[in-house]
Amino acid sequence: MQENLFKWFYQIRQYRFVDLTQQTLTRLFPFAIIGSFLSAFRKTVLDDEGFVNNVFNIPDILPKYDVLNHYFQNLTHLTLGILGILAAYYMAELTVRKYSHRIYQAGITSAVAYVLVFNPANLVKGHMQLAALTRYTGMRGLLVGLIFGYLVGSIFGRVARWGQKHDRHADNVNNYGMIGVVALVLAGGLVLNVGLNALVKFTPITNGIETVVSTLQRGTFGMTLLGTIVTTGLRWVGLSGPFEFDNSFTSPTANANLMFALKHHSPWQVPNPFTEESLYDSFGLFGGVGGILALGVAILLFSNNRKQRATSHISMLPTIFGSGQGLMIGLPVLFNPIYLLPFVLVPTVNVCLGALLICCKAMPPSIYPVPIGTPGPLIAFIGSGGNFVALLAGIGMFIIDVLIYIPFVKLDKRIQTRLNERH
Amino acid sequence: MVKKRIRAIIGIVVCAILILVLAIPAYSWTKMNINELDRFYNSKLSPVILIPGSSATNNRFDGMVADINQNAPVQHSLIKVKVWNDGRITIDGKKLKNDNEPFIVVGFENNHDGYKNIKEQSKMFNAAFAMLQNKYEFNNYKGIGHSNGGLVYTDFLERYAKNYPEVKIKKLLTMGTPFNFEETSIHNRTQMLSDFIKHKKQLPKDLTVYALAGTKTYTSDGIVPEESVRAGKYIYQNQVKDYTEITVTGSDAEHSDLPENDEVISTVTQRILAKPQPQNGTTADDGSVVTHKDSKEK
Repeated sequence: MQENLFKWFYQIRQYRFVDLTQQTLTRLFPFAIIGSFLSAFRKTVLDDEGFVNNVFNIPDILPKYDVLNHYFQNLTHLTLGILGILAAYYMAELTVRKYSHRIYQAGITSAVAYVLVFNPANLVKGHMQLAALTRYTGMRGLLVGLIFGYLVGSIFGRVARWGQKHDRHADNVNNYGMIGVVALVLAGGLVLNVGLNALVKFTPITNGIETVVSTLQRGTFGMTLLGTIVTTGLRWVGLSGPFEFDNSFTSPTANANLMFALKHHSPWQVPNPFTEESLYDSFGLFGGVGGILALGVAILLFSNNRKQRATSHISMLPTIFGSGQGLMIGLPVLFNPIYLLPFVLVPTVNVCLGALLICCKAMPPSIYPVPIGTPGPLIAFIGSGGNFVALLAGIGMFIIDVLIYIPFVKLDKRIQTRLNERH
Repeated sequence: MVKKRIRAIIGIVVCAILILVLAIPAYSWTKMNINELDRFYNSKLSPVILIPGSSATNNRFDGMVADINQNAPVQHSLIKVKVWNDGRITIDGKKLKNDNEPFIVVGFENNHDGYKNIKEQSKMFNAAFAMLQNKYEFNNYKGIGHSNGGLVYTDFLERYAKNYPEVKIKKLLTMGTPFNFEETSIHNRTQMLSDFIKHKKQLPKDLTVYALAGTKTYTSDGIVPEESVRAGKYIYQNQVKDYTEITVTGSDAEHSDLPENDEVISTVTQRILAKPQPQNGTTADDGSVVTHKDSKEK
């Protein structure tokens, strides 16, 4: 079984797209790690909803914190928020190298065209807001950026190769032919942008997505479990899922829970004990999606790989406060088939264990507001109104998560060794 | 390697201790936060917040509140707030203990007429409102605006009320409010009315509005043209839940007398305040005819 898995993973690693993806992610890592530090600091300390901000009453200590918050917000947008664009850039650069080393425009054209595709409609008016940029240009646009970069790189490469075949003066192709390719790619980006805007505007696609999300947020155990699996699966390929822990208590079920608890002065008997907030947000996210903090700990304990250990070391602090982008991109976890299974399994197991404990009345569901950037094992503790069983459950589940990740860390170690032997 | 692993274990233990130490302040924070939420959601307080018209001070409603209190089973408190041009907010008066519907009058140092001043006043009102909400932690309130006070309210509801999604305005009473300033015809829309109509989608959907018009002649209450008061329908009608026009005539129906008008006072007690005060001669819930002995003695 393990041997088969090993062979399968090893084979996937051989694919060109996968290989280029890994190389691209390595180049993104500095941005991801700086961004994750900025983001963790901003979210916990400077944000009005942040953990440290609330618990240690930052507005009293640092009255001008909101000005700083704006700066940090912009800096975060310009690091984490452009990961998708950077992915399009590096991917195109790396892809085109296979064809020719003398094409210099592929990366930057890809990046500009990518911004063009996903810029919001109000770019037409001549101004674009940073926040609007980050929806597909950031972490959650990674897959799209990679595919886009790959396509653009291939177009550039193929045109160059075709030119070299049909024209003896290859320099002409590189200098003048490239004008046509750049224009073509940019025009393609514009057409895609218009097409996407029309798609959103004239088809019920947004409504469809909203319906799916609200169905998954209905608050039954089955739906929450499904939502957990779908969300983590999508996040593994660098897309966003239905459950996002950005602003708590947006779903009507969570709101109903809170109202009920406040009315009866107790969180025990709420109408929907198995919501996204009480299960997924409380136990499925330890330091980011997929219980990534547990992976960091497993690597520090069991990996010999110098690069992986260094990555875990440097990423540990922001990951504790919920910004696990460093680990996701640095190891990498994204698109890495070895980690797909535990990445989805860990939150699923946690959600099931949490539901079991709530079901046995061992602890109340966490239904109270939890500040953003709260360290993973404390989320359920705060959300349940300071229930100590919930704290113990958080710590216990974290240990289980580390145990789940350990065999996969060891498997990864073997594959790395094999890959290194080959190179 | 062993050395490295020991270092890793030490690091992880330090992190674990850090998290557990954080659990202590986190515990007291969540307890405090829940307490605060509890107080807010279970608050029975529902103040009536009043804005006087231009050139008036926050003593404008003294007579009205005194009249209402004459027949009220529980005395309503009268709290006066003043917003100064330098941003200071002063508060005068205290909330009585058993009173869940205190009257809070918000006046402004800059109490001049004109659209520019109205906008400034609604910004000042927003500051006062934030302060009041913080202090009294109410989750719903009622509004009364006399004359330009109704304009300040409209501007506040369209531009600032969305900052308080949890605090609902239940009812709004405007008295002789010139939604189209001095214009006697709706065909001459002022900039202000156009702006109000343009942003009317921002108004709360579940709000009940009473627009009360006074009379002196057939077309005016002495100061504000009736057409200008009626222009309110272009803002509120079909936008809020209910929009009711009321016209009072007879004594005390002139613009400046409106707050003391008997009909206005009974409108406030019956429609704005939560529990309608049974009036003499009306039928109470149990079918008996209400008579107030004490009110006659006074």
